[in-house]
Amino acid sequence: MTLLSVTDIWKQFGGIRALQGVGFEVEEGQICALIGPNGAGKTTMFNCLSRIYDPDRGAIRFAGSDLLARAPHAVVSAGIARTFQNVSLFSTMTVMENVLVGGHSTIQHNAVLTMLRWPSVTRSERAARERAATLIDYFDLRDVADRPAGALPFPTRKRVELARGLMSSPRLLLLDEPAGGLNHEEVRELGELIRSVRTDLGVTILLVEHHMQLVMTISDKVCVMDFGRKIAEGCPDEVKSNAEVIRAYLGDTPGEQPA
Amino acid sequence: MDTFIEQVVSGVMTGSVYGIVALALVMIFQSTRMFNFGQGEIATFTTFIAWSLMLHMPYALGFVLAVVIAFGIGAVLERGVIRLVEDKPAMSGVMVGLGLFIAFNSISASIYGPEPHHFEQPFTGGPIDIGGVTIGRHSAYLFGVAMLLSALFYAFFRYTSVGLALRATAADRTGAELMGVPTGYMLMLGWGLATAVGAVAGMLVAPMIVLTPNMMFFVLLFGFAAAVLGGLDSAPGAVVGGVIVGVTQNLVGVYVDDLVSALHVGSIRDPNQYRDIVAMGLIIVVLALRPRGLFGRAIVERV
Amino acid sequence: MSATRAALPAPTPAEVGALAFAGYLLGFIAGGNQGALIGVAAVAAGMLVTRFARRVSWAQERTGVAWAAVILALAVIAPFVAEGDFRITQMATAAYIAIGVLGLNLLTGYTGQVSIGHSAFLGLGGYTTAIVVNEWDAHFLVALAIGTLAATLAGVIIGVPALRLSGPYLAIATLGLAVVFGPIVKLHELEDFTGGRAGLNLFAHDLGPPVDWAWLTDARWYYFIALALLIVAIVLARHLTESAVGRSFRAVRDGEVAAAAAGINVAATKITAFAISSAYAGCAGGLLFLLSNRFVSPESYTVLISIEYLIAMIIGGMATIEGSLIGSFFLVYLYRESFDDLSRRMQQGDDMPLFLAGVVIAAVALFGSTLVTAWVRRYGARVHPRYGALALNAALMLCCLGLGVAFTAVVRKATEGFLDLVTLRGALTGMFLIITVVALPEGVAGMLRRLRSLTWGEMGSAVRDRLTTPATGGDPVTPVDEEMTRADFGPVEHMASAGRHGKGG
Ligand SMILES: Nc1ncnc2c1ncn2[C@@H]1O[C@H](COP(=O)(O)OP(=O)(O)O)[C@@H](O)[C@H]1O
Ligand SMILES: [Mg+2]
Repeated sequence: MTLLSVTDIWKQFGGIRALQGVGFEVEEGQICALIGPNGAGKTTMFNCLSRIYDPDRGAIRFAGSDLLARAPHAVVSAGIARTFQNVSLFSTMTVMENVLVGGHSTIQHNAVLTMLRWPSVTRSERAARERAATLIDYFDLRDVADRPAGALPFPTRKRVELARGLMSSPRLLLLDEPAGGLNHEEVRELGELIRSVRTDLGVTILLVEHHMQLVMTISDKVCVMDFGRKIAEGCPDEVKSNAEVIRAYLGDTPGEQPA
Repeated sequence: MDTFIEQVVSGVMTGSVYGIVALALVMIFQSTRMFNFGQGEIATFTTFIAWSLMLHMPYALGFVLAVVIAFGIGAVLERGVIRLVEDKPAMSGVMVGLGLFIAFNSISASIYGPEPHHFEQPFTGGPIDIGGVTIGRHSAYLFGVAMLLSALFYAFFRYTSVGLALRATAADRTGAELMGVPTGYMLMLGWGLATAVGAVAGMLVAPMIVLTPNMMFFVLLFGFAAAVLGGLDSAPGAVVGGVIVGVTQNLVGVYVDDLVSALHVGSIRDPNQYRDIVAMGLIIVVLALRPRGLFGRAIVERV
Repeated sequence: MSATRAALPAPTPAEVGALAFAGYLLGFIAGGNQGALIGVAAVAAGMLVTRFARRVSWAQERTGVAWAAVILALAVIAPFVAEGDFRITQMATAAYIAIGVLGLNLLTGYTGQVSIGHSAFLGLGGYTTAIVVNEWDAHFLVALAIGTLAATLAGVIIGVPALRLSGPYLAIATLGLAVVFGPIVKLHELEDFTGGRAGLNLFAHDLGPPVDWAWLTDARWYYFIALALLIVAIVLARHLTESAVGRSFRAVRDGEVAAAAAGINVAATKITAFAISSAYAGCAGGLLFLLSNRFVSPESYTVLISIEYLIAMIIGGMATIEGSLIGSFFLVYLYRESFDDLSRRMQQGDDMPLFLAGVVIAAVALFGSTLVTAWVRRYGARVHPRYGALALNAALMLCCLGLGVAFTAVVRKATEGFLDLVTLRGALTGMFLIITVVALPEGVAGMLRRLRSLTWGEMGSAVRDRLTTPATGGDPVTPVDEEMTRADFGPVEHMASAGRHGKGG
């Protein structure tokens, strides 16, 4: 079943055409990768998906409903969670609190009821804490659960961000360059983690990534973007041998091509 | 119609004071990305110093000395205080500004007392008549000074190498440093100049309203408004912003009465009391509609 | 159980300090400086007894309830031992200011929305309360509720345009709000309600206790109202900050985009914070009316109030509840009371306050400066490997005393009677504020949190380090601490960088 379908998305910043009619589909249960050189418009695409940007034109349907009709904060309750390219945790809050924020939309947060500590508030808070504790264990964060997130090493922060994203029990998880800034070994572990997240939690994953090895080993499907357009799409092997993709990655002036 | 023109003209005049204050605020914002909430009070303080000086010497000398002292205060503050919060987030800057505000206000009050002082009127003589519109001589000269100052600053930033270095520092600190600009001194210079400009504003305002420790409260606020309206990134913008605020204020003072009677909701005893309120309300509305000012550019946050 | 008995730890520095302070305060309230000593002894004895009875360390987290109980008991006892109505009203003042600061903290500390406009919300609460009492002869508590409601509404109304403003821009808009409040209440058209320039004096209205018990004087009744409301305010704020709502406040402060992506409605969160914060302010404003002899005037609610509250919030500690309490105590007892006391003594020719001020200023400048510290370490080690730095520090301390004397002489000479120290309060406050922002961004509450787990041994070695250890490279600040302090102000950082992008784009 098609979970996410993006059709003909356009987005322009001043003179820069960041997205020019991009469209693709993600099937339920897939790990789909969005790749392309820097500045290709991948992050912009993600920002359109999470409604941080309004596309100038185009449609995004998620699980049969119109995503563009939703407010940015309502994307999560539709079933889409995301991580950011430059890890964007709430740095003064503890790891536990960060993960809990991920489940904000599922916790009772009526201010008046909260001030009165209404039983429904306590109940939903307790349930959320239980779920957060499970996720914290799953991502091996128990030792740092009460530390402020801003003070943690980078790879740990990435795991916290993953846990926060999963806290809302999303159907689709968007990962923007999850391997950025990680070393070889950490990237390998990340690949395993992403795969196990899919199988254990049944989450469909759409990721932007530069690390080709990671992309090629974990993805079911790869979309390639360049200068705001989709230039290729298919299973990893097809894409690897696509002439246009090779040109986009290696530059298209014959003189510049490595011998 | 005549009242209208007269009010606009006199609004332009008062507005030019706001413009001068805005100029100072913009300079500081440009160099240190900070709103100097203490600007007005430092100006008041230096105006008091000028007042003391002028007891013993002619106006011109006192004026110049006070400007020099103000420059020194600004430079020392940058070195001693601002540098400590420079790489801290904006809220620290706001708080330091408030600290300066309350500190200088209290210093002026404790040395000179709350009672009003008479500050010398530099431009004496009868009102000037321009094409049937009469303007107070002081206001006219005030306007001239404001125009001159903003032209000077414009030229300074545009055409001198020091001005270029200042702009480079403001735009990209690290880059400027790599190019060999002594950014530390540039920031001191920026603060010094801004404080000096503030002092000029203070000394020009003082004869119009009386010199008291709180004299700059509203002036500063409208200066802020002018700076924000002007978009915070150009000297002429600041002055134009000031003029807009001044004119609005004046027109409100005159026409609020007409408006109220036109709406048949009674009459107003003293329209002038609405000037500041409505002007401030307009500022809040403009801020809300155009958060970066009338001339500022919109900002898209990059993620 | 028996193991606990055997391992009963000695009181920690934090405990001793807290006991001493609580005792001092109680004694001070009861009878000025002489009473203070007795108070210290009494509280120390009482708390130690309680502590031994419970066989736990007060520094432990779960003893929070016990702490709260002791503080509450003291707060209830205090008005009965107080020296007079002045002291009781002063305590009530600390209580209502704590409510206001707590409200400000929810908005500015927790949610990261700078407000310099709180004096206007306080004013609205105060005026509404006064007007309701005046016009309808309503019971004070009813009027206060209406005043609080009015301020809440105003908060929502102001919150909507404020949604689009961030950082310094919001500061300017709220400053404008604070400044126009005075002219608005002075409007001739509203004079019938507000009393215009002169204000509204309801001294003739009896707002005293509804029952006729001899021990329940007016002052005590007011105090208990303020105390009860403060307790409610604290409890509600705790519920709020420990829940999803509190997390959404802090998330918005730390990063609006990430907060929205996590499913938080940023606009609604900010409006909520504005509403709650202004409700607190309105309540504080109403109490201010009650406690200032049932009198409101434009002068009771000037921008300076906003600034004082901000100072209290920062010095106490942003985004902490206890910080708001500490801040209000600072404001009432140190800033207002001690300063008045000192200046009175100065006017009577007592040089001690000036001397102390000089010593403190010199000490802060000399020992607080990293330059001087580094210099002492470097040259101290040359003079004598172990005691050189100690000797230099001792010399510096002597210098401080000398500078204190010099300061006294200079100020006395320079002012010759016309300098009014009371008006200099603002200068000191401004300095305090700047020093706090620079040197102690987490405020006193943050410092106390660190001190809480400090043992005598650690304290000793910290002092020894500071005084004697030769150069070990910079301040003993760990990277984690640095990140935390920076992050404390995090939200605005990201706004500042947004501003920077705008320049380039
Ligand atoms: N908020 C913005 N304002 C202006 N230009 C932007 C903005 N966001 C992205 N761009 C531009 O759009 C293009 C695509 O950027 P992005 O989506 O970040 O690329 P990437 O594929 O590396 O993630 C780039 O040229 C970038 O400069
Ligand atoms: Mg990207």
